[in-house]
Amino acid sequence: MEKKRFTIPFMPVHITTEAAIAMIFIGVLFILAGVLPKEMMEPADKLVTPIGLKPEWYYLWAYVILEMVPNKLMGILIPGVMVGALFAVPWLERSKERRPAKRPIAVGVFTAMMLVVAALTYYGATIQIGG
Amino acid sequence: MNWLEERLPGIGKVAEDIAEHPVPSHTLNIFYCLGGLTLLAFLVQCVTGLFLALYYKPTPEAAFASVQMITNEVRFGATIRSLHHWAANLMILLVFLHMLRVYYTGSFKKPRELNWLAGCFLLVLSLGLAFTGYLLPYEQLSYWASVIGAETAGSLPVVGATMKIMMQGGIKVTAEMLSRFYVLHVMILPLVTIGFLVAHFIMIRVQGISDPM
Repeated sequence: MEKKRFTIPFMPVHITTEAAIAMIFIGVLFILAGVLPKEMMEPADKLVTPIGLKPEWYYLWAYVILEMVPNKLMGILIPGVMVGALFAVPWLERSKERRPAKRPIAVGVFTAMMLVVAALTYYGATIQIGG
Repeated sequence: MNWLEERLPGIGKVAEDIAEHPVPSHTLNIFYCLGGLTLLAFLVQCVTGLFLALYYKPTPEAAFASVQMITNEVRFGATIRSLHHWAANLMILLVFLHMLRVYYTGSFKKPRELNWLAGCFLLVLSLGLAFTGYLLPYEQLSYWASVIGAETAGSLPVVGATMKIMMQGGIKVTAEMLSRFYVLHVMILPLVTIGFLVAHFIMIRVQGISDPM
């Protein structure tokens, strides 16, 4: 486990690399904002419920579970438990080993969960919900 | 520097400590930049959010019109709003990717369990900021997304009914919902987020960046 640690100084090597990446990020943001600006949509109408309502992409996985599970309480509890499990990761996986290849079960379970979330997001993005 | 040192003894040591702090070379890797970029996205949100707050009016009657004004009339308003929109989306994507990096490199393991926990809170806070901010333009989608959010919270056992009333400002959706989401979005959640960010960074400094695998 004892490895030689190669270090670089914070000034100026690390800080300039960080600054370069930060500038690229800000550039990408401006390009996105310029090419795909946020447009106005219709104002809120309390009397008309829109058909086929979908949340933003980061909530889609949970929304699909909510819509798919017939029992509403279970539909909330399942995403809740999934997020709760995330908080508990360091206590669910206690081994000292860090290389993914040496902890196949934990990495397998975690990867499977992430793939489920990704698949649900894809599913939610492609299907028509409700209506 | 001498001028400062005379007035603030010890400041030279602090500056030296920051400048000469050695960083492990394996962190010069794009996967190790994701956390820093998430912070940058958050800072962009603070700055653009401040400008949007100058013109935004958090009442059901005026909200949509004020966002319309920001988009169509205010100088650079459309740009600032688009930047706020994209930085919000990228922040969530980045916080998620940062979590994947920390998980797969096993960096959350002893002694860094508490920092993983702080990171989880920051993920949930990011989602909360996105959820509360989504209502503010008071568009059809934003209004009904919040209604569904309140309904969903309402079907929780024990706390559900109270949570729904607290979110809606009444048994039914009231005008209070917008002010509550506004206060959450611009005051409470950002302050809590900054608190967790500070804890996150202090822990990194105390524990050091994890060794290469």
